[in-house]
Amino acid sequence: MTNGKDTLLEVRNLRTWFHTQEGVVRAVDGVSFAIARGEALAVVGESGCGKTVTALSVMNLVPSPPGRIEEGEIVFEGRNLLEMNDREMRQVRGNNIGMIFQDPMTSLNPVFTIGSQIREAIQVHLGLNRREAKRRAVELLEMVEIPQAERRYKMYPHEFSGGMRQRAMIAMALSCEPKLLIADEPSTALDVTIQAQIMELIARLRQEIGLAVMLITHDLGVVAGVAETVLVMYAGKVVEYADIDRVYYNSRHPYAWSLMRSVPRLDEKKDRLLTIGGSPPSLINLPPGCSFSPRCPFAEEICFQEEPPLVEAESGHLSACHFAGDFEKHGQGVKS
Amino acid sequence: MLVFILRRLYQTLIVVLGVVVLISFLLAIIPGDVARMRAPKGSSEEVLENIRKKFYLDKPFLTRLGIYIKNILKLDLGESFTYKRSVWSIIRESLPWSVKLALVAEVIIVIFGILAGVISAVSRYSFWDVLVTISTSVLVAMPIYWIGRLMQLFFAQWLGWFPNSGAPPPGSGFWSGLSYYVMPATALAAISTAYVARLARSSMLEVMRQDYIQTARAKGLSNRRVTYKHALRNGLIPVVTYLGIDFGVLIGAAVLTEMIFNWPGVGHKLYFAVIQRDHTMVLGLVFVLVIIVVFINLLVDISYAFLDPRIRLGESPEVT
Repeated sequence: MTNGKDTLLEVRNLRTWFHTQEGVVRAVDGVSFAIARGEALAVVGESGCGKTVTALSVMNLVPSPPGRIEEGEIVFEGRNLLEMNDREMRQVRGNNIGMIFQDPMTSLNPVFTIGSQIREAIQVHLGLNRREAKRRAVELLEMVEIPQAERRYKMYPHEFSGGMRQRAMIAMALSCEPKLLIADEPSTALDVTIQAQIMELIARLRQEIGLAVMLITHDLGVVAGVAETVLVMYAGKVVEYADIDRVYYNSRHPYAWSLMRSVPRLDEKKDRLLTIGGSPPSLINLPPGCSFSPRCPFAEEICFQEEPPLVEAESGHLSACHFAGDFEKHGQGVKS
Repeated sequence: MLVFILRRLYQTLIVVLGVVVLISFLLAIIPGDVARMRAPKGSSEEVLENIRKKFYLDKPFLTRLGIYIKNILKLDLGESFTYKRSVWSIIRESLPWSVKLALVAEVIIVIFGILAGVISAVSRYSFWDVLVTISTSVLVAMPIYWIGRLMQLFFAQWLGWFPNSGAPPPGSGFWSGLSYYVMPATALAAISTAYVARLARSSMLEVMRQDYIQTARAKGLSNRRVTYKHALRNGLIPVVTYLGIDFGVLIGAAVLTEMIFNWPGVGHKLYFAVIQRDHTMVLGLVFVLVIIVVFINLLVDISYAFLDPRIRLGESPEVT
């Protein structure tokens, strides 16, 4: 949500489908959002709701076949990435948009040193020679707070701990000073204390280099400290899209509302956490009407028949719910 | 790295010793009187006794083994009774032929096997992939003695492109000499080439699915760089292991190929030594072959450590 600010990335009506033997999986089905320069957007949702596929679509890295971007526009700095040829797209990847992945243990190539893997992108995109690239890589390692960077530069991934590897991944992703960092569950595979460090690091780097961040996570706990805007996805669609405070305190969608209430909080005394019953629907055979209706505590007749459009429930707050205005009132008698 | 090599050398010694003991034991338990085979027909008991004394056949097995090992340490492999010459001189004559043949075969395997496998993996399900898959299946199923005979029929008898059999005569030039190698080396390489192609294909496909390949793409590297730098180096690890082990086999187990193409190598000699019950010959040839195989395995392990840094510290590769 850019609110008139300088838009960096705008995704319009993105549809990325997977053509499998069982049928067409509509992993991402009509997703739109925008990120301003320097803004941080959190994409939140359960596993399999299309978060990662959205991110891979932006990078044009959806495994194909079976995946295909069927429709939509991905406009980055005024240019539609989907219309770029392979060569132009490579200039964007790593150079303008950096990406880090969920599992740092498997995301680094085991047979090359950390240093050479960071240096590679610098040499390809910035055209520096080996020595200059090395100096830059060591600086980057220092920037992501890896001690003894000079020595670590020569080490292999297996000599690094999980947290250090993720730091190295971040250094690699930021090596060419991209304008956007896509972080796909960057802390999920790490210990809790390390998670916090990684999220702090991302927040700090944002401040320092004015980076825009697209943070993908299923963990609402990590969103608060990093992002300003939240995009809640469910079954391949956007169900709520607003700034973080509104989603946290004044949610207009029962899915996001339930998610907020299933996060343990220290400042609120509660006996039990709310859980969302059932599981996400199969993306091949979506139920008619609202995809969330089978699990929704407030669902009415209309929810099972008509799919709710994504509309502005209030200024700057999008929600895809028939009762976006007042579902809580509407569903009287349902207690959290 | 040095510690790694020393440790492997030490293991190598044990393996060689074990093989010598095993082969001696096998030769000792084969029924039949060796002395009677060596002596001319109708020799007197006295002559037989002399032969037994000369070759220590009257001593118990362990004593014989001890003497043999002591001789090996003095680099004395004994004398072949069929050739009436030292086993060393025969090995010196025949081993280079086997090694040269195996080298040419290995070159064929490396070039065609890896190339076919990588092309097949990169353009999966394409025409080339299907072609490689079918032709490797056919090749694997064809025994050497059949491929060899077919090649002799087509390329020597009918087309006359290559000499039918034998090693290049002394004094032949490079190209005419090489023409003698083409058929035996191809026959020797055929099955391994097919196997390497399949191994390289499956290994590359496996590697291409790894997360770090996606990372490399996300860095903005070209497809070529992702495939030939990031994937190939990982994908080749199992291939190099196989190639190394196979090289020893190519030298030692070329018996069929060397027989069909009448190649004067170690396999040819080994075949006749076994038929003739020439114990010292069999032991000597096997001993040298074992040393070669074990030594090549050592080189493979070293190159493996070069390819995969995780091996260097003596840790097992992580399960990823």
